[in-house]
Amino acid sequence: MTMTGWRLRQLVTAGVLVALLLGTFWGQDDHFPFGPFLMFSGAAEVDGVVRAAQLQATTSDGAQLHLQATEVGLRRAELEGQIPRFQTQPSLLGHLAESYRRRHPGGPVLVEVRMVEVGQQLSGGRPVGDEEERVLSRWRKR
Amino acid sequence: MSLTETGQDGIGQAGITRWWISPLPRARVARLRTVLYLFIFVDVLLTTSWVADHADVPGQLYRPVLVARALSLPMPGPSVVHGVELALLVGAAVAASGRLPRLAGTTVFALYFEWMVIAFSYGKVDHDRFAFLVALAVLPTVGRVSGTDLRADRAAGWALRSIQMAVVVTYLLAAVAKFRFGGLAWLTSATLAWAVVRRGTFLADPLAQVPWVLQVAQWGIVAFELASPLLLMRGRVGKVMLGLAIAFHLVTYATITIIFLPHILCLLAFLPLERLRLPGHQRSSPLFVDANPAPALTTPEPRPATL
Repeated sequence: MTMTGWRLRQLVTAGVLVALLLGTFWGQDDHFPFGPFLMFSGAAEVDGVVRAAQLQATTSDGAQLHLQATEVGLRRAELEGQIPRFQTQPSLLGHLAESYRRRHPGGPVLVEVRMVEVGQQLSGGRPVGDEEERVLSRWRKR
Repeated sequence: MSLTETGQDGIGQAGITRWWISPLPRARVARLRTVLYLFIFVDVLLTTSWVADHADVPGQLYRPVLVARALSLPMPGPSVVHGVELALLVGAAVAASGRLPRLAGTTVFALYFEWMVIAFSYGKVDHDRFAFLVALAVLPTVGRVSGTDLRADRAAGWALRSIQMAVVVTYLLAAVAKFRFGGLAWLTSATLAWAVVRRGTFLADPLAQVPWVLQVAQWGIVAFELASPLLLMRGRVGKVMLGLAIAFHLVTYATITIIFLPHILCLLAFLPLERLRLPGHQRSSPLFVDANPAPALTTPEPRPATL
C-alpha cells in the first residue's frame, strides 16, 4: 500500500462515515445508500391499528380479484409507499392495470382497480376483533 | 513509493487507523470475493428477483431516489432493467473467476449500485445492502490475490476491516434510527406485534397472543445492536456476537420471512476463510480459530507481501 493509496482510503472512509452519520441523524430513505437504517424503527401503538395495503380488482366479466403486489410488478411496501399518490391521482391505479396486463398476457382485463387498506385493531399489543377494509382509492376504466 | 509492513512508514500509527490497516491474509479476500460475486447470481435471479419485475412497471410509478435524480440515471424500462441485469451477471461471472479483479470488480460495484437504484426507486427503500455495497466497493482495491495465498497485507486488512465496520455500523445505526423515529417508546411499543400481524409465519402467529415476549425481544434487539461493536473483538466475545447475529437473522426469517442475505454474507469477513480446506489444497486448520489475530502475528514473512 502506497502513502497515496493510504491517504485516499482514509479520505473515502471518512467521507462515507460522515455521510452515513448525517443520513442517520437527519436523512431520509431518499438519501440511499446513506439514509437512516429504518428496520421497523417506528414505535407502533399497543392499542393502535395495524394497516396493510391490499390491491383488489374487477375484471371485464365482473370477477373480483385480490391481486398480489408482485402481479403488477411491485412489492406491497412499494404500493404502500405510494398510497398518498394513489389517493391524489387514482389514474395511477390504471397504470397498475397496465403492468398487470404486461405480466399476464392473455389474462383477464381489469376494468377497476382499488387500493384497499386492511386494518387490524390491537389491544395491549394483541390483535382483537376482525380485520376491517377501507377503500383508499379507486380507478375505473372508461 | 515503496513501504514496508512494519509500521515505520508513518501509515496507520495510531489507534483505530492502526487497527483498520493491520494486515490480514490475502486468501480471505480472494475467497470472500468468490462467494460474494457468485452470490450476485442468487440475489438477482432468486432471492431478490423482484427487482427485475420493475421492468414491467409503467414509468408513472417510478419515484427515483436522490442519487438517481442527481446522476440523471435513465428511467428503468424493459431494456434498461434487463440490460443492467445481463451486464451485472456477466461482470459477476468474470469477477468471480478472479480475472481482472480491479476492472471487473469495480464494474460489478457500479452495476450493482444501479441495480439497487432500480430496486429502491418505486416507493420503498430496503436497508439490508449497506455492508454488501461496501464489500463490492472495497474488494477490488486489493488487486489480484489467490485463494491459497496466506500472506497477510495491509490492502487486504483495510478491505476486510471496512466490510466488518460496515456490518457493525449497520446494526449500531439501526439502533440509533429506532431512537430517532420511535424514541425510547420503541422498546415497549407494539412494533414486533405489528410486524407479526402483517407478515407473521405459523411460527410467529402464536406469539401475537403473548405481547410481553415480543417486547422482551425488542429489548433484546436493541441490546444486540448497541453491543454490535463487540463483533470486532478478538477471541470468544467476537465469536459469541457472531453467533448471536446469525441466530438473530435466522429467527427473524422464521418469524416474519425477512432475511438480510447480502448483509449476512458480509459476516463471512469476520471468519478466517483462508483456513477452510479446499479441494486440491493441502494447507488447512480449523475454521473457528481467531479471526482477528493481533497484527504482529499476521505478518509471518520477513519481507513485505505486497507494496
